[in-house]
Parts: sequence; C-alpha cells; structure tokens
Amino acid sequence: MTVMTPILTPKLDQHCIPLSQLGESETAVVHVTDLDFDEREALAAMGLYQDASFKLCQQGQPCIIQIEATRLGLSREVTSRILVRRCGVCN
Amino acid sequence: MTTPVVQPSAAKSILLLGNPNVGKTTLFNRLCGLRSATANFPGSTVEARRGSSSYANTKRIFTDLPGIYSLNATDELSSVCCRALDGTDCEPPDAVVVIVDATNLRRNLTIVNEVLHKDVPCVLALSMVDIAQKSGLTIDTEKFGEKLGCHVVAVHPRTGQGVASLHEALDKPKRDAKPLPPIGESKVVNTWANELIASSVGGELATGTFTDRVDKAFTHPILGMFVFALVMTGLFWTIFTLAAFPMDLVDFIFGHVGTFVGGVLPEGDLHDMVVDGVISGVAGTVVFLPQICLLFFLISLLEDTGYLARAAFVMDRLLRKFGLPGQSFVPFLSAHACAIPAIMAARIVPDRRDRIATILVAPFFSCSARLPVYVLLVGVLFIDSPFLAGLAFFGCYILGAVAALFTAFIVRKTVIPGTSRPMMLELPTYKMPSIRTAFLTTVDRAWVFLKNAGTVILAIVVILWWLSAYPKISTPQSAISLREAASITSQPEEAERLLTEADSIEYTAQLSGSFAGQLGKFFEPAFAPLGYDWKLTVGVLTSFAAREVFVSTIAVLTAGDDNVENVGVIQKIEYAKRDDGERIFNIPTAASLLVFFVLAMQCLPTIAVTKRETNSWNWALLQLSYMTVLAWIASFVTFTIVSGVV
Repeated sequence: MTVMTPILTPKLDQHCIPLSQLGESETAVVHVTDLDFDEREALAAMGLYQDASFKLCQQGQPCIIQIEATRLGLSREVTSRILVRRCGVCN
Repeated sequence: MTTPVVQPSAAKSILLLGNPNVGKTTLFNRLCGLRSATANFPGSTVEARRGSSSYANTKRIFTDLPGIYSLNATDELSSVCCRALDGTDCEPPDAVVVIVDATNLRRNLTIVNEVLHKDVPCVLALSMVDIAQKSGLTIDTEKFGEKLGCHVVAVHPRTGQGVASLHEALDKPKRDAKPLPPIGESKVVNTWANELIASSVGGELATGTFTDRVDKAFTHPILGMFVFALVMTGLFWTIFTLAAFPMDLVDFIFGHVGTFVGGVLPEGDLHDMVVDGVISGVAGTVVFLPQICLLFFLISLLEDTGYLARAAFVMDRLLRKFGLPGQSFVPFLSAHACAIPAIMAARIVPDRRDRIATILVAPFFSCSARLPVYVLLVGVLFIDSPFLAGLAFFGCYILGAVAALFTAFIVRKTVIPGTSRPMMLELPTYKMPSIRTAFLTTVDRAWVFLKNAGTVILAIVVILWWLSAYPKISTPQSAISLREAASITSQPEEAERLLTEADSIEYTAQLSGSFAGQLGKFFEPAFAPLGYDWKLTVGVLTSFAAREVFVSTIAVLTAGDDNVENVGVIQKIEYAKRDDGERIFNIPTAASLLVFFVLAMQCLPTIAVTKRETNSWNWALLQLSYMTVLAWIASFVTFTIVSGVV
C-alpha cells in the first residue's frame, strides 16, 4: 500500500513552504503532509506521495498541479496542509 | 434492478482493470459492442458491464471492472476488484487485461505491479499511445513486455486498432516470473517503475498550455459558474426540445396500438385488461423513454470530455457551504436520470459521512421518473402558456435542488455533524467525446428502463387494473334508465349523448366500488387536506413502488372514462373527472401534487439501495420519513395558498 510518511517524521527546514504559497509554473517536491490517513492514501494513489515532484499549474481554489501526465485538483484546505520544497532547493 | 453476475464456464472469463480515465470502458465497448449488459458484482452493489466477444472461434466474456488507482485501497471498489481477481465470489478469471495510460506510465505501473503479484495470467493494453507519441514519447512494447513478463499490446479503443492483437495475446497469455517490488513500498515501486520506463520508453512528455488555459476558465469563480450554467441549460434545453417529437410519436403509436387491439379482441375482461391495463399503463411510462435516453447520452458525452471533474470543483464552492463535497455533484447530476445509479455513484465521495449525506439528499433531485408526472401536471397548470409551463418545469428542478441543499445543511448540523472533506480529484485530459461510447451507454440504460417497464411496471398496472375491475358492481339504476331512454329516442345525437352518460355513470360506479376505490377511500382522509380525491390517493400510493407508475395508475383508473374520446393518453388523464364531475386535476390540486412529487420519496427501489449503500435501515427509514413529511407539509401549504389565490 502506498502510504505517505506521517507529519512528524521528516525534519522541517526553512525551504519548506505550504503548497498554497507556491507560485504558478513552479516545480516542487512533496516534503510532508498534515493530512489524515485516508487523504494521504488517496493522494498517494493518484501519484502525490512523499518526494513526488510536480508542477503547479494553477494556484487558488482549486489548486491544479501536474504530476507527469496526471492533473490533480486540490482544494485550499488540502494545499495549506502539504509542505513542499521548491525544486531549486529540494536537493 | 440489475441481476447478479453468473460466470459461465464455457467461455473464457477476462477481467478489464485499470485506473480511472484510461479508456477502459471505451475498450470494453469496442470489444463487446451491443453484446453487453449491466449487472451487479456478487455480494455487492457495484455495477459492472459484462459482454461477450468472439475472435478466431474463441468466445470470451469480458467484465469491465470499476476504475481504481490501487487494489490495496480500503474502499469498496478496490475490494470488489480484488475479490474478482481472486475469484472469491465467482469463478477465478482466465486472464486479466490491465489497461494502462501510455502517457502516464509511472502512476499506472502501481496497479500493474499489484496485479502481477496475483497468480492470474495478465495482458497489458497500452491505451492513448497516439497521444503519447504526439507528446514526444516512444514506447518499445516488446521490451516493456519482456521486462514485465507478460504481453504488452498497444490498443486504440476508439478506432479498434490493436484489438486483434489483444485477442491474440489473450489466446496464450504469458506470465513469466520477474522480480517485482513489494506492494506498498512506494519508493521501491517507483524505482522499479523508473527503471522499466528508462529501459523501454524514449523521449520526454511535452505538456501543453491549452489545458491550463481551459482549466483557468472552467474553474474560475465567476466564469466557471457561467460556463456551468450554460452547459446545464444547454443540456436540459436539448433534452426537452429534441425529445418532444419522439415522445409524440411513441404516444401516437401506443394510441393506435390500443385502438387496433381493442378492435380485434372481443369485449370482456381480457379486452379490458389488455387495452385499459397493459397498453394504457405501459404507454404512460414508455412515452418518456426518449427523454431518458437523451439525458444518459448527454451525460455520457459530458463525462467523456473531461468537463465533469472541473464542474465538480465549481460546485464545491457552493456545496461546501451546505456540508457537502464537490464530488457530490456527480451523483446529483446522475440523480436527474435516476436516484438509484446516483446513490451508487456516491461511492466516489471518499468520506463516509459525506457519502451518507449525499445519499440522503440525492433523491430530492428530479429524476426522469418524475418527468411523466411533471409533464402531466405542468400541462394542467399552464395549458395555454408554454412559456409558463417551461418556467414551472424549471421551478420543479430548482425546488428539488433547494430542498436537497436545505436538507444537507440540516443533516450536517444534526445527525451527521461536521464539514465535508476537502476536494482532491484527478482532472482527466480534455478529449473529444466518443459518440459510440455514449450510444452504447444509452442503449444499456434504455434497456434497463424498458425491462423495468416490461416487468415491474407491467405487473403493477395489471394488478391495478384487476383492483379497479373487481369486484364487479351491478349497473346503477340511473345508467339503466338512461340506456332505456336512449333506445326509444328518435334522435341519434341524443341517443349517443344518453349512452355516453350511462357509460360514464357505470364506469364511475364500478371504479368507486372496486378494491382500488375502497383502498383509495380508506387512505383518502390522509391526503384530502392536499386536495386529492380517492383516485389520486390510489395514484400516490401505487407510485410509492416507482414514481412513473403514477401516470400509469391514473391512465388505468381513467381509461374507461368516456367523457373524453379520441385523445392521447396524456390528454385523457388531464381531462379525467372526479366522482362529483369536477376535474381531478384542478389548479390547486395539480400544484399541490406537483410539489408532493418533487419532494416525496416515491420510490421503493431507492429505499432498498439506500439501505444497501449505507448498510443500515435507519438511514433509509430516516430518508423516507423525512421526505414524506416534508412533501406533505409543502403540498398542504401549496394547496392552501393556491386555493386562496384561484
């Protein structure tokens, strides 16, 4: 089963920002989420698991991200609880 | 209702599995065409289509499993797919075809890995290869197959290209043991997927800006709502405009069939049962088949374009205020066709509490079974004004939607307190819709509707006819006197008038004394405050089995009414009379009845499905009692106000 790591495991750093603050057309990787198990499981099944890289297509409600050919629409309540690292600083 | 799947042993059983939006159903339609039917999986309410296909003297039964992202998810769809693969509730499959989106290999390989862990021969069908190639990807299917240890075939479900190769691969499905990553280890699975892709796929996927631009418009807070309103208006306008001609045709055909059969059959009980019961009753329902077909056809086209997922986000802004998630919009749209598939479609709502709230309010949206009643009553209310009739029709839909949202708000404040789960939804790529897929879906749904009309509704109308024809009542003295007067008068016109009056008195007496009449009169006091006489009471009671039965019931109960002749079924009902000679459908009663049918839970199968989907009689009974009480109160208020105004 594809499961995302719980919130407290990874260390947060200064480069992590909520997905809701990422700029349009920026690419980033998922660092950590503050979502419940079912939500994490659903996102992971759709391709948004920890360390998955994606491009932000549209910010707002909905926030639209692209993971390879998959486009996901996420509401603001979800994007504010996903911390991401911009690709320029993630590695 | 659907029937359980029974696995035949003579033909090869093949399962079609894959992620949502990969072209699975289109491939199924290409393989099976019209040789398919909707059925339930054993032990579940999950619908699936099964169909047969023959190739090189080999007959195969294909089962189109629901689209899932993972076999290991905790939802019912994944569980059903797992059980089908394992052969838990049915015979184990001979092979499984995993349909994989070639433009999205990495994500799709998760489910491929899970299937390869099962001990089932497997064939990979790569769909959307043309789009992948246009986007800059090249896939070496042979190498890909070698690495996976199974056949990999490129298919184009819309054109049928590659389907022959798929059949040939199914003749001898390969299953070589290859090292596979453990299920659930997403990092290891991704490394495995990356290596596979690196070895067999060339090029980089180019992503265009077209989808971004269209999504910006379709999900925009104002523009998106405008587009949504435009799409929905177009949908319903098309249905009501285009369906008018075929509906008139069906009405005309049934009218003539009734006249012809009535002329051929000798007078007596068989004549009355066939003409007044079967033909009249079934006509009252089947006449609405064109509207139902158009609705399913257009919903299927819309779904195929990829717009519905965007519309769900547009609706999320509104629905969340009432404690429902945007995903509820899809069941609500289906509810305009029928509440049963809508309640089943509520499975796409991931959170159980959201799902139950969606199920509880879905039957408020006006289903196609209500259309016959709306058409009849709106016609009575605004007989000379098509514009007002259209407005009233629209008002019924609005009233249903408002009642649904109001109820959802109450439900989320009381029995299921809390807010809805935030939206996260895959947005499929925009595509030209497939007419073929929409057509086959429509045929499938129409067939289910006709089977219902030919079985349940037919049985109900025959029973109703019997209830209204027995016990036989002796001819009233007044009718005998009128007939005697007609026989001695020298004026033919006067004789005819007297005979018509005598027939009417005899018919009314028979109906009034029949079992149906007794039943209607027994329950009449409960509905009298709403303006209903005993005939309407019988109609309301029988339509509890299915709403559309109301028109059939009234058609049967008024079939022998000779006050109106040479008119279609609908007009005959509209002009039907009460025992006191007043029209059954006067304006206050028609308005009250219209409100009642918008709000009432008049559908036995819906209650059964609610029970199954919520796994509790409590929710089903709460839904039934709440909707009935709300409908009664709203109808009473309507009747009182309209009576005062008129």
